Amino acid sequence: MARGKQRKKVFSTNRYAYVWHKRIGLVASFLVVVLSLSGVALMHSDQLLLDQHNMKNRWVLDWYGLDPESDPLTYRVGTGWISWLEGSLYFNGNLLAENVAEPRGTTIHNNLIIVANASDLYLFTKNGELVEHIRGLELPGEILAMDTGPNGHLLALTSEGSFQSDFEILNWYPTELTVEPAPPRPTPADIEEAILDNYRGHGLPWSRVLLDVHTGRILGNWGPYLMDAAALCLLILAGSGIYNWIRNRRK
Amino acid sequence: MCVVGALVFAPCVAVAEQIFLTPRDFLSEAFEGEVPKAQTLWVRGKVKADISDILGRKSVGLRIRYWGRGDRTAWILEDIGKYHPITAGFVVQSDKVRRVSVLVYRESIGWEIKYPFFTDQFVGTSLSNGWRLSNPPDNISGATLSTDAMTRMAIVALYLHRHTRKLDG
Repeated sequence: MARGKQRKKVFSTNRYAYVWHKRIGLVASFLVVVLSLSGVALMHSDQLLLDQHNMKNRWVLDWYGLDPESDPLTYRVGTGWISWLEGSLYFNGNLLAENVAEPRGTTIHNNLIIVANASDLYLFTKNGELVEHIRGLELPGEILAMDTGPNGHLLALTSEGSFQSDFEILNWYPTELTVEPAPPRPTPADIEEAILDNYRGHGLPWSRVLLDVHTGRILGNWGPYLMDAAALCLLILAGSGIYNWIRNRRK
Repeated sequence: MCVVGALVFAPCVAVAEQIFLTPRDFLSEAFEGEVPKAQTLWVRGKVKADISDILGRKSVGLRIRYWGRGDRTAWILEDIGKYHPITAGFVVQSDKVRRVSVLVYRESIGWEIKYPFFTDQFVGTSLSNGWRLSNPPDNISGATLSTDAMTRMAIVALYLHRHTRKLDG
């Protein structure tokens, strides 16, 4: 009788361990899959170029709050639009260049897109290829405004006075002509949409997202605790698995 | 033929610049006070591919401005050291570097490359096979990336010098 009770107790304990092993396994499995896949991807982030590719998913980008702090500044250039948003320059919504200071003049000259800021002059083809980046030391002064003059030459109002370039923008000569700073114009909706897509996509590499998924931080402050719980579940699974194995072996 | 070129490769970054020599002064020294008018060289096809190969990146400007007289060539080039572009001037004559000057330095460390003990190492060097210098400069401790950038620019200067000479027939 006592032996039967003992057997029943052992059976009950074994069953209890099995049931909880299964339950914890089910609960932890999803998080373990997430941990494993993100961990493997992060281990090979160099080969997978995760630092070089950016997240494009709008839901994820919104989740990260990747909105620019200001609206794009947009200028009419020929039949197109030059826009500038937080250091990036766009032509018709397509990225032209980065790390560019706020424009002080834009124009089309000799079939090239010309963008001037205080200390740089950028020349692009209409396909967006950089033709030349002329730096301040090769300019007549700090540029205050720039446009095409009535004679078809480039005119720049600078801290040293007004200057006119030759046709190829190689040399600058003082001139009596002057140019006024052109105010920005409202950004067309489709161009603004393209710029925002590019801006958001630029700011969030895949490696960042995967790291946040791996650590649980993508879910906020409580996320890491969830991943801690998953790790704890794994420990319990290991313990209960060993317990079940020993019990089964004794039988 | 004498050519001096300005080649712009790197994006603008708002950093503190150390200007050691203005392009105007460099050109004046290169041409002993009589700076010829600037000309342009359009970089396309194989030349562009070769320059991209030398510099190890694709963002190469399509147009190079240059000035030239006689068989001496000098170029004002830019390449990124660690984070920021370095502007340097190279004078080339008879397919050999004759003079190197750091014009603008924007990195926080590694500015020792401006000194003649470093820049003079380039004097007399020429282009050898595989985009290498015949006499590569010794590295400066703490300025490895700046040294590499200067070496790449020297190679580009020699390459463009040779290219312009071919164009001139």
